[in-house]
This record gives sequence, structure tokens and C-alpha cells, in this order.
Amino acid sequence: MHIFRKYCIKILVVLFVFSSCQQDDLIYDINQLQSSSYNANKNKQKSIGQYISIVYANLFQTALSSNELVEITRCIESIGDKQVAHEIVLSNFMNSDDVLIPSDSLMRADLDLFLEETYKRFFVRDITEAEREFFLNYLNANPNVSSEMVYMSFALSNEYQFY
Amino acid sequence: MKRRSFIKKASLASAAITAPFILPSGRLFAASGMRMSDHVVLVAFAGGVRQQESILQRYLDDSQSYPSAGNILYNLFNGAPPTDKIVYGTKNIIDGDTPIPQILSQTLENQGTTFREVNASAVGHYAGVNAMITGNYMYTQGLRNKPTMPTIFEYLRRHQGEKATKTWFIGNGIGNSIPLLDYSTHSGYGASYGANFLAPIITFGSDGEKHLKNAKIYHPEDELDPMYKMKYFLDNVWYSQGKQLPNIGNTEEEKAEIKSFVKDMFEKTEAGTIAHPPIADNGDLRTIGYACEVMKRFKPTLTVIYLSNVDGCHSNFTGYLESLHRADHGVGHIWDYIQNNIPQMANNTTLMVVPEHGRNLDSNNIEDGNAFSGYDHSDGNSRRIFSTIVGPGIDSNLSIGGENNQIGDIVNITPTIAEILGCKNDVVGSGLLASNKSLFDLI
Repeated sequence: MHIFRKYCIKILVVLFVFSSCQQDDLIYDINQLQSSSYNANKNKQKSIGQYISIVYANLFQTALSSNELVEITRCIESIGDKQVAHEIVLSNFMNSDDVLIPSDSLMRADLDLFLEETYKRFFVRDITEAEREFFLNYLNANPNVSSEMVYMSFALSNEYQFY
Repeated sequence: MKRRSFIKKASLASAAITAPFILPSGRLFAASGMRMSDHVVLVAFAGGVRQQESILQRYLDDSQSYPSAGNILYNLFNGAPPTDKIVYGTKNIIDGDTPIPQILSQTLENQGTTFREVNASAVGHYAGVNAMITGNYMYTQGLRNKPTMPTIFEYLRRHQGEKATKTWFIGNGIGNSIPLLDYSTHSGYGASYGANFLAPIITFGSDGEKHLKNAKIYHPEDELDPMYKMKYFLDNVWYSQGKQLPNIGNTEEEKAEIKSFVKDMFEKTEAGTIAHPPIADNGDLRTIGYACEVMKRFKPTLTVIYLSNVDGCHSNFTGYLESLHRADHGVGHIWDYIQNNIPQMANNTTLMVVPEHGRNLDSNNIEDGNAFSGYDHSDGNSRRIFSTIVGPGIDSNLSIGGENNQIGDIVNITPTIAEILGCKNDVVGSGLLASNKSLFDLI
């Protein structure tokens, strides 16, 4: 009888230990953040043809004809400093009546939205908070900076040369 | 008083020569040698030029079994032009019947030193110019790739601290991988020491008229400055995570000057005031006109001009003779223009003329409209070229070597330019040349 009681107590202790409550996973109720680099996947440089096709589509919201693609590619190849060549070609685009750029007043009306859409349009990614802060500060401090100038800076940027 | 003045000037000159200055590479530097001149212009007769029709002056005698010999490069070489079956000039009654008048009163052969028989080594278009401006045989790289060995532009910019706009590579077009020759992929040199490339007949031709001419000119302070500030912010963010782009290192001022130059050239093209040679009826001569404009604007330390119209010899021997005659006309114009229209370069420029390679001894089976046979480039005759050098400190009327006495190699061109511009020790010291000898070392 004594032995029986001893075994029963041990069994009860074991059952008590294994049936004790488990702690739930903690939920801190915050948004999940992407810890990897935003640009990490852009590791291939665009060819001249790719660059021109994409920037044309971004600025005119229509595709560049194949003839014009060949002609503009030849123009860029004919000038060694590619940044100079791109700047000349893009400023030529900007002189066109068909280029589609938000007006300056529309940009100033909602800078946050303009910046978010510009980052998605050119860089195909979300703006980071650091980038947002820089641009908001810069654009607020420089009321003469136009949407065209912002678009030019994105189209000439190095990140835009990669995909 | 004179003695005091002399001592003062001599001290200042010594200080100027020996004072070290800082190069883009960051190291302190003192010039390694005296310059023979402050500017070098290298004209590459690309596309393959046979010795027989050029320096040997045999015209149709050697190539078409027609007894008419003579000199069709009379700005370059001494010698009377042919008198029979003239096909290389401009049209008076029939195509080519009127030779282009000589520009120079003294031939370059009279004014300088000519190496009459030089080894070209490579016989391909890209390989030939590549060997010429890298001082290396193109054994270990393919076409459509940048040079693996540093170009003379990079040596010059790294070791002499030249700005990007002081080195120009001007090509007649963008074919044959020519735009790739502005800098190499060598880890010690590369893009940041590259030259400014320009193919003006495209930039200012019909394509450029359509897509570059109407470029907006942004205000430097009000528009460009904020634009660049935003771009630099974006680039800094990118550099922290992404790859860098090749950049030949034009400063903002240099870039602005290039854009201004492009705008001005469109205006001058429209007004018909480009510094073209008197006859400018092919791409080579129009390229030379724009090259003269580049030299007048930027006064480059090194300008390489690549002419390629003679390449038509494969199937059009008449066209080849026309192009050869025009290339000579263009070289005469370059020399004349420098001496008379660019005071900063007059009497302070060395001109070198070198074909990138020759052409075959025997013709192919393709005949042109005059029933002249064409010539390709693949045999031993294709490895025969000449080289003419004229400028300050170069012996005049000196002829080196001959048809059966080859002296010099195309890889001697890079050390020759380095010697003229006072950086031969640095260039040779890189240990990257196939030959450490300049053409002067072979005299």
C-alpha cells in the first residue's frame, strides 16, 4: 500500500509538470520591417537601349519606337561621358510637349504623395524614411525646385541605371 | 641688372619645374621628364593602308597591273603625283578626275621624321588601334571588350595629372568597337583616367539633329545646381548599397563646357562654319573638321583621331584611293589649322600619322566600277606600315628604314607619345608595355 501511494504521487508530479501551461508567442503589435537592403536586388546595369526605353516610358507613358531607340542609342554611344550624353538626351525629352510630368503646384500640394509616386515610378521601390526626410526638407527649403528638376535628378541617378 | 633678372627668372623657372603637385591619384608628383611639346595629335589611318599606294607611291602600278605610278599623299610625302588614270580626286568631268590641291607648302616628310617601314603586328581594325594606343599586342582579349592594358590616355592622366577634357579620342563612327578605346579595364588605371570620346558625324549628324540638338539648356545655378544636389543625394544612398558606374572624371565645369560645345557645334553646323578641310566630302574629313573644333576649344594635351574610310578597299579600290587621298588632305588641314588657328598649340604640337595596319599583297576577286581589284588584310604585307612624326624637337627631313629594312613597331607609338609628353619613365615604369622603346630610341 505504501509503495502504491509512493508511485501514485510520482505519477501525479510527472503529470503536473508536463501538463503545466505553455507561454504564448509574444506579439508586440508593430509593423514588420524589411531588414535587408532596398537596393540589394538591383545588381545588373541597364544597357543603353534598356535605359532609354525605360526612361522614355517613364516620361511619356508610352513606348519608344524601335527606329528612335536605335537613333538615340547611337547618339549616346557617340559621346564618351555617358552622364553628359544622358543629360543632353533627357533635356531634349523635356523640351517635348508630350512629356508627362506632374505640375509644380500638384507636387507642392502633396509632397509626400509626389515623392512616394516618384520613387515607385523611377526606382520601383518604396521611399525610405531617411529619403523622405531629406526630400521634404530640401523641397520645402527650395520652393523654386520644379517637378521637372526632381524627375531629371531621378532619371540621371545611378540607381536608375541598375535593375 | 641683367644678371639679377636672369637669376630671378631662373629661380622661378626651377621652382616651377621641380615643385611637386598633387595628382588625382593622390600621390605627390614631380614631372618625370621634359616635354618636347605640350600637345600631341595622333592620326590613325585606320582600316588598312598598303605601303604600295601610300609611302611607296606606286598608285596603280603595283596593285592593278596598270603602268601609272605616283604620289597621292602629297601633304605627307615628297613625290610627284600620277599623271595617268586619275580616279582619286573630286569630280570635274568624271568622278575623281581632279586631284585635291596640296594644302601644305612643305610636306610633313620634309618637316619631320618618317619611319618608312614599321611592323604593324596586328591586322584587325580594333586590334590595330588597340596596339597603337596601349603599346601592347592584343593577344589576350577579344573584340567588343575594352582594352585589358592601360591606354596612353590613362597613363597621361594618371602620371601627368591631366584633366579629362585634355585627352580626346575622336572617331569616324561607333563601329568596330571604337568607342571602347577611351579607357581600359586595368585595375590600376581604368575609367577614372579615361579620355573623352566623340564620334562627331553621329553626334552632329542626322541622329543628333533629331535627338540632341533641341536639348534644353538649364541655368547653372538656378536649375542644374539643385538638380545635381538631389542626384548626389540619390547616388550617395545608392553607393552605400549598390554598384558604382564607370566615370571618366569630367568635373562639373568640364561637363558644362562639353554641353556648351555640343550646343555651339549644332549652331556652327547649321551655319556652315565648322572648321572642315577645304574638301569635306566624306566622313573622315567631316570628322577632322569637328576634331579641329575640339582642339580649338579644349586645347587637348593628347588628341587621337581615328579615320576609317579607307576600309572600303575590300570591295572598292577606287574608293580606297579616294579615301587615302582625302585622309592626306585632312592631315594637311589639321597641321595647317593648328599652326594658323590655334595659337596655344601652334609650334607646340607634335603630329603623328600612323596606319593601324596594312593590306594584302595579292588582291581578292572583287572588282569595282573601274575594274580595279580589292584588297583584304590578312597576310604578311598587312603587317607593313609607316609612321611620320613632325613637331618641336623632331628631326626634319629624316628618313628611317626602308622597304627591306624594317625599323619600329606599332607598340613603339605609346612610349613615343609618352616621351614627347614627358612621362616615359612613368609609363615604362608601369611594367605594362610590350616594348619600352620609343621610335626615337630606334633612330
